[in-house]
Amino acid sequence: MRGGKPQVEKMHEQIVQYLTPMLGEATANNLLKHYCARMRMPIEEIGPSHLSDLANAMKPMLAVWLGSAGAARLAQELAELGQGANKK
Amino acid sequence: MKPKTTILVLVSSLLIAPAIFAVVMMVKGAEGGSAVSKVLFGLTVVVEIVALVQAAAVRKLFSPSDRGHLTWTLIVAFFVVRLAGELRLITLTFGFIPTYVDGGSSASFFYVVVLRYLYTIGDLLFIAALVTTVRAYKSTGLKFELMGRDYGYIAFLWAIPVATYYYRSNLSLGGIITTDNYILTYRLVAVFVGAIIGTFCVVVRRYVLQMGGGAVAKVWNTVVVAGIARAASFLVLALLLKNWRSEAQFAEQYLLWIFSWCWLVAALYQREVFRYIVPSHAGVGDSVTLDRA
Repeated sequence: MRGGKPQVEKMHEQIVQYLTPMLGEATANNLLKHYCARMRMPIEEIGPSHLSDLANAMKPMLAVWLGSAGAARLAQELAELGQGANKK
Repeated sequence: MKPKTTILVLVSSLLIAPAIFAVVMMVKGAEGGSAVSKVLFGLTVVVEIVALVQAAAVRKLFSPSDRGHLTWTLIVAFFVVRLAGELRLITLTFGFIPTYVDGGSSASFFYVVVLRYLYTIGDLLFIAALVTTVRAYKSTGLKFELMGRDYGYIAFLWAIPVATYYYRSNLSLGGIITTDNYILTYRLVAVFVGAIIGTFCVVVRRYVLQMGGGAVAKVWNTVVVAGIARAASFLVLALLLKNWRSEAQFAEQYLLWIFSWCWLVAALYQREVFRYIVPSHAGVGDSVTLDRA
């Protein structure tokens, strides 16, 4: 929290926030839960290092709605969320 | 062309068209009202052509291996077949080709009676597009499922063709052109196909609601409204035709006007999804540049 304004701190919240405009909040949450369960990883423990694998795993499902090019782009940007976090 | 502008034009037209119809009916009577319906029909065809162009552009944005490619291919095919049917109806509505009368030539029978079913073929392609959409949602493995009340809506939808069958004598006359006796069978088929469209729209609507918003949901929400308008057009005709012929013609055309605009908006929303994610892949350079200007 900075300057009293609520801010997204956790990686899973950033991911949901990133996917929501495209897929809706419920789908973004469900999608993340689905893949975290598949990767046997508690959702709160997602870190920047997991993002690349997570994004790759999500691609086929994202392609259902966004096409393969859209899914590839979204997955790439998701992975870059992690790079941004690493830079910080 | 932006979806918001398109919706604004649609909403304005939804207020203006009935007002014009009411005034013309008061001044010129049923004949004037029928002329308004014909003009609205002509304009609907223009919107359908624009929607076809937009749907074809959306189809190109998907790779052939994508599920979306099949869905939008079916949508494009639906529009092509539908527009072929509309072309036939234009020739009959505006008197370029005489309507069929019992005992007429085989060619006239084929053109007027048989080709009428182009609309049914088009609607079957629409249903196929909805089926592929439902399958796409299911293929994600996420929890998309119907709720108890949806079965109630579906039961209600299926009451419509049953009621239409019961009141089928209402359907034998009317439409925006003089009709033959074979129209009854077509309209019964159409109303049953409309119920199938409505059923799949209920399913897609539920899945879309379960997404919790988002750009993709907007696309399919709009398609659902289109499907409901299409199904409702059959119902309105069945309910009103006997006693309020001009009003029934106009109401049917008014719903088809909504139907065509919703398809246009859905295609524009889908293009916007691509533009947002993959600007370089939007594949519609000029249009994107114009929209952003």
